[in-house]
Amino acid sequence: MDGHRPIIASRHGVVAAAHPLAAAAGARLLGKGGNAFDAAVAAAAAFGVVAPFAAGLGGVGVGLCFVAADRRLRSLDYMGRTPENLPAPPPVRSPKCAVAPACLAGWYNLLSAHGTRTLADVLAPAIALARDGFPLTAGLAAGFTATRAAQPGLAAWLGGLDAAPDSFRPGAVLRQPALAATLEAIAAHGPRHFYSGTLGERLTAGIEASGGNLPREALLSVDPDWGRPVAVESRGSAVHVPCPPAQALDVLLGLALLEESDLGGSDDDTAALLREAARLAAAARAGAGTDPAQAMLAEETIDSLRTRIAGSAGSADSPSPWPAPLFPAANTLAVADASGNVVCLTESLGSLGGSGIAAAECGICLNDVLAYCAAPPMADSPLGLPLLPLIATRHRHPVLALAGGADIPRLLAALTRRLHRSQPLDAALEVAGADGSCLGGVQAVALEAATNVATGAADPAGEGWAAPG
Amino acid sequence: MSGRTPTFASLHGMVAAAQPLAAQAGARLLAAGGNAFDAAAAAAAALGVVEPFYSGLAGMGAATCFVAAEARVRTLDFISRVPLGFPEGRFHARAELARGPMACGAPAALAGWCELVTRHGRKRLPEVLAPAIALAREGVPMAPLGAATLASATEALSALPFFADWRQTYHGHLSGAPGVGQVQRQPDLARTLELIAAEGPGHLYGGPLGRALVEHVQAMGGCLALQDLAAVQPAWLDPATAPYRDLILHTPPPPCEGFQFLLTMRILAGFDLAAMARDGAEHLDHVWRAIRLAAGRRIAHNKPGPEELAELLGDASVEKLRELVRAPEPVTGPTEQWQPAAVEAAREHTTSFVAADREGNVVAITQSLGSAFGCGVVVPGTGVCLNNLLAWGDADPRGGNPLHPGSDLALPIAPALATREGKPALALATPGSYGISQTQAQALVQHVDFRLAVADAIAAPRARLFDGAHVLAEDRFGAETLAALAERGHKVETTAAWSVKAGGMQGIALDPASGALFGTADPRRDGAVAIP
Repeated sequence: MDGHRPIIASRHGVVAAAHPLAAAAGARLLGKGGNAFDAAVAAAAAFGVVAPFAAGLGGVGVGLCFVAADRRLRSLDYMGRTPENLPAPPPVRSPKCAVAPACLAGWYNLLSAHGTRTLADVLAPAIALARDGFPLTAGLAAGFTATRAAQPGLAAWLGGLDAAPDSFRPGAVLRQPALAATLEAIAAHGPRHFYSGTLGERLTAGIEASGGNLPREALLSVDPDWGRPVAVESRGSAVHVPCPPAQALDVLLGLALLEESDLGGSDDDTAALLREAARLAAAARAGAGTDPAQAMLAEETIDSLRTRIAGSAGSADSPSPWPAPLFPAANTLAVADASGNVVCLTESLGSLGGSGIAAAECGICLNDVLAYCAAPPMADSPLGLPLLPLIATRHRHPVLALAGGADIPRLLAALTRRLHRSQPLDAALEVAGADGSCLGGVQAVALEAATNVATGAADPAGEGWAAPG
Repeated sequence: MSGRTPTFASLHGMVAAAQPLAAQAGARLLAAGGNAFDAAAAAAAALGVVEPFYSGLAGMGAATCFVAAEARVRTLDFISRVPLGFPEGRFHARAELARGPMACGAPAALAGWCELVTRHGRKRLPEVLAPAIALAREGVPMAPLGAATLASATEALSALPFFADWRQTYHGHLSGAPGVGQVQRQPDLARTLELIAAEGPGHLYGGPLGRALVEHVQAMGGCLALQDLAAVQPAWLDPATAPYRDLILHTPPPPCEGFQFLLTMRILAGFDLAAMARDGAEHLDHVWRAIRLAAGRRIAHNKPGPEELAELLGDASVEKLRELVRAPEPVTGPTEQWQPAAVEAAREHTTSFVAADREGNVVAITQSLGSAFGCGVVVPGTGVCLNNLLAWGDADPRGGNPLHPGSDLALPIAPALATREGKPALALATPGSYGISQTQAQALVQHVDFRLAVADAIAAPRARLFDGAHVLAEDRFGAETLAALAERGHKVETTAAWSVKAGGMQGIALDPASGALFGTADPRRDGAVAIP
């Protein structure tokens, strides 16, 4: 109404995703009686098809969910682990920074633990998009074009995507028969076909042929971890982030630092406060040692930093705390269903086009996520990637789910607007100067326990959308 | 505030509707193997639940369809006739028939939806109605426009003798005080829809629902009778057509008044609009003049027969009107009805939606209860709110749209479909009473002449013209441009940046080469596009 995006609210669940076709794929599962886990995997797989340069089978991710049946929060880490011989500093867009693709294992874990549909059912929308094709939207066309410009190593893969390789223009229909065949094989034979079967062999060979290196052992060792999220209390809500928490702790500490701050001031003042909170949190994490959750969320840490933030409003131009290049794009999505399950996921290939290596015959582009680790990475430890799904609860009911990336101030803004100031969900996601050109961003679902209404909203800066169940 | 949404593009079909849950209901049918006709009917039924004020099974409407298997455009008229027992001569002013049992015509929307499905769909009624039933039973979170409309209708109806039934239906199952996000359940309507799903449309036409409806209306002094229900028969009609640039435009033929839209485009085809500055005074002056001239012809020649229509749209007639567009004198004249009347504050109580599938079928529908909540009469225990069809006719028999018993009424609804080389290229539909033909013309010019994508063409600022020289223009046109238009003789009044008075248009553009569909829902309402 009146020029605003519509409110997408439903008693049958909602899917907020980084592209309308991904949201549609998730909503389709909800409409067929699937739950939030089914819908989340369907949406994630569909996004990997429409934005194969940003997410998909070659990537990694992390999930956070509220399981309605046993009323508990769980996180799923499918980011992989730091290798023994990580180059320092890690170069972006290099096969040296690839980790074994883990998204499929993550999806399968989500489904087998809590889903109601088969892998074939949830992959069906993604397969149709890959097989039949889809019209490129402006953001996708820009993403493909930027990927082609930055990643000469992907020429063969990108060239095979389209009859006319120069036509990554909005409206052009893109088909991916190789990716469709891969997804169909996975749907038919299960994830083992990918991790230990002939599909994995083809993937490994394809990566090697393109100048990369993906050892069979790396594929075989992919094993997502379920974990118990970490939480802080904030003005009557508890905000939960995945474990191992990595950069997600920045959000929790930042929120704790803002607990007593007045965020109702001018936009500039508020933005400065949020940036300062993020900067202080990142600095605390850098010095936190081996148990960052313990160190960062200790009362004395919070108390001492809180006095600093109270006096520091306006010191706006602090350098970015992020040691690695800012994450360019990610698959972010948040889903709720009618039964009260909530799932949010953030997945990525790292750089646009990841490592610049693709197994064209499998339709899979390999990530470079090691380049985005927090420095200094420790060998064989969980990867600290800026993949940040989070869920807020109130009286043990989920009230808000957000999925975002490295922009911590942005997540803090959304959280505080919604949880502290009770703003409408779309207002909580508003961002100044949005031009709709970014991919990924922050997607959100809000829940009202009293009415069992789920409301979805997508980042107005991107091509995201929310579809009702 | 930008009206910006992502581009909705798909090869697998889509539904654009004024409410997201209704669009999703249609998409669900597409996902389940249904075609655009199934999807349109599912969205139609769902709209009657999620926007019970704008339309419903007891309303009426019209569809313009591209039937892929037959490679042709067909229109379906599901507007009922004036009841046979209507006491001609008893009423003299339109306002007397605004509310109450006498305003009600026979419910025709349900018959229309069923006809779309049985003639060209492939799903059965229970599947088509399932999403609407679930929404009625589980409830719907109220959207901003819905909450506002419920509040204003409550005020408007509260003094009327049938208010208690209405209040029980629409306030009796609210989760809290009316407002955005509160859940509205309609258990009576859910049960009625379930009975229709089980027994077919005969539950209403010839069945217990029809008898209860007629009994209730007659007990309250209305004239609707069983014979009027029995006479309801949606009519497949060949469209009225006109060329525009490289397109052929199609709308329902008279008695629908969409020929005003065709005539407007015929006039504008004589001008090189693309050479003018978009949204500049010259562009808008041409379009507004053409709209006003076409409205005048529609009012003077209401319900034309085929020959009269051909003459109206013919070169000789059109060229005279083009002369008036070129003339230095301002163009003034009526835009509404034969009988000048004060404009009702909130007249835009109709809804439009568009569905397309991967096979090339396209359906555009505009459907209505007349005013918000129609005549305001709810059949107790059924959740069914009746229309006020008769408020659209002329109580005064001298009018061009008189209320003769058994006669067709002219309604301004005009769902439109454009073809290029025999293939569908664009479907557009909007509510907005006599603004319908006006705002569709404006959006079409943006899309065709100025090459805007359909979403941008529909988001572009629009104006609504009223009798005389009055123009209500969205303020996004800019003060300077509007001042220049005032100098050209338009009495311009500005309204909000986004006004529902300028319509609530849904559209789908089609690329015949690739099969790609691009859809949009008007940012002026709460609508959305859903993709299967």
